[in-house]
Amino acid sequence: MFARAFHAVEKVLEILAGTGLFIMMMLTFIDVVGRYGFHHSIFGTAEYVEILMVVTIFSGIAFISAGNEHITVNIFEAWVQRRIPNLQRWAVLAVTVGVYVLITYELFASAFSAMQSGRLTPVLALPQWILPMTAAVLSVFGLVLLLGAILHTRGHLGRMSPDRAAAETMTGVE
Amino acid sequence: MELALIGFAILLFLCFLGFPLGFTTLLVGFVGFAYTRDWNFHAALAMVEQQVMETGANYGLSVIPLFILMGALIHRSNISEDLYKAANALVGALPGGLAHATVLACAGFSAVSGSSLATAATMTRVAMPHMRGYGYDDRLSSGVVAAGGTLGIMIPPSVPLVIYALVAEEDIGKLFIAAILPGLMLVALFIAAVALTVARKPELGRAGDRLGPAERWAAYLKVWPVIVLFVVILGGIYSGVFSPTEAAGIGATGAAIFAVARGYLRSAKALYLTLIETCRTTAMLFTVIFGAQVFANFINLSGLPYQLVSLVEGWELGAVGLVIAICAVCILMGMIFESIGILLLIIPVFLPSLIAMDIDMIWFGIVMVVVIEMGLITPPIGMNVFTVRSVMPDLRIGAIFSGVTAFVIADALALALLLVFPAIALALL
Repeated sequence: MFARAFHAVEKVLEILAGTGLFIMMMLTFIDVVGRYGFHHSIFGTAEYVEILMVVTIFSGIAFISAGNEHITVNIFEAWVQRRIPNLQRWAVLAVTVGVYVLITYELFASAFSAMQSGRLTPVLALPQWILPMTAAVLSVFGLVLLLGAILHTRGHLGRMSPDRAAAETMTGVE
Repeated sequence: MELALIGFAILLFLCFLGFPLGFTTLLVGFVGFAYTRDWNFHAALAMVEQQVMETGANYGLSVIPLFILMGALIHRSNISEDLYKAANALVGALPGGLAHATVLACAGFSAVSGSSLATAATMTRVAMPHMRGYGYDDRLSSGVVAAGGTLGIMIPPSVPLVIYALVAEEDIGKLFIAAILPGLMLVALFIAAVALTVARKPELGRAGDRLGPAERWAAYLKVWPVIVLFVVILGGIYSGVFSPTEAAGIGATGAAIFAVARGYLRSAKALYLTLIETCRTTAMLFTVIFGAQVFANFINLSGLPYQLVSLVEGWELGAVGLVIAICAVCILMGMIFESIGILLLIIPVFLPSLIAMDIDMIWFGIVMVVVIEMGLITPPIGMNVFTVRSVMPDLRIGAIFSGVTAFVIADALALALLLVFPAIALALL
């Protein structure tokens, strides 16, 4: 039951992130083609892209956190895991949850502050709280997924998506 | 200075224990910042929020997911096989020809992918079976794909160069243009490394079959999408027709069109998987960037970068001496740390010293990428070496490290040439 709910929320976040990225790509492309081909670019492209960046990145962070897929320096990790497996695992999870809570809390604080000030974005005149609020709400989903996965797997997050743990990633950043 | 060094020590210690790099860097930066401000957690929280939102909602940084997406789409279009055939048609008949072809194919793939790991993994799949089929020694063949993969971060577009531009506040377009000649120099040096290796021991890699003119031209003509994408992206940036961000959007869309035209990416699932793969990589990268931005604020507040300026001036290292010292630090760090972490953590510390010494930051960025390339193929981490091994599990790690030795020397030579002749990086600007 929990696994199904977990994967459903994860899927929604994936679709949000992927859709955001796809629209970002198309928007940038159409903006340039419109500017040179039809002397008419899309008004406020940069601000739309900023919103899409927030959707893509914070949805992405939500599902990589829940899947424990953060970048790590694993030179001594295996050695440490052999000696103090439980302590290492729970300490890592505590830091992940703690920092995630910290970010989410401050994003909400920023969103409410922007809401009270009534500030608008310079080009599209959208309320400025939209960006931090979007990031904060997506982070809440990420936190719920993460905490649920921790409780469900007793800290073995890899068990939520065993296929992914074995899968290769072809688009490394290095 | 002591405070910043303690911060670095705690960060390294936690990272070695397997803590996530991004969140741990953010936590150490947050606590360090609060401590420096007399335990003012309110100020530290506000700084974290500011850095996270300024980075996460940054139009200029959309270049990162878009270039990563372009690389993922190019990978899915399976053009690597055609690149290898074209390169093989050009140089395959030379002694060690298939290894030469691997270097050229890696360079071609790098021109449309900003990742060395993707380049190494893709070309291992494509080139290794061919080289094994011709009886190439595993040390040469695995070494050349591991080293050839590092071209992915030098030949533009390059994700590490974008990260460097963010940290050093430099122009991404200029960095891409500056990387062209050093990238070509590295290709030439890698080819020379292969030539010297097979000249000493011809049995390591024999010449391949010579193709007829018709077959050769057929192979060359199949790689036009790569040439078109590269020319459009770099040409557009160089001529000022579009910004690097727009170039990334054009490149990603172009790569998607090529993939569909070549018969790939024709299902919603294939597109979905490519997008999610990119989002996943982007999110991993941005957590590290968030953390590094917060940590950099702590380091700046601690005064370390400015104390280093006095130290460097006191030691009378000179500009080149300082750069060599930073390279040495980065090479040491590269043995235990991954490259993006080095760029994000080390560069901000030395930035004021570099600026005080009037060092050209575009040139320095190219120097840093060469140093990082060396880190990707040197023990004990050598990410590219492990990537090759993950694709070909029957290879011995020791054999791959042995195979890359000639290419590490080529990298060191490239670094020396760049230090002596900065014009290699700056001539096209």
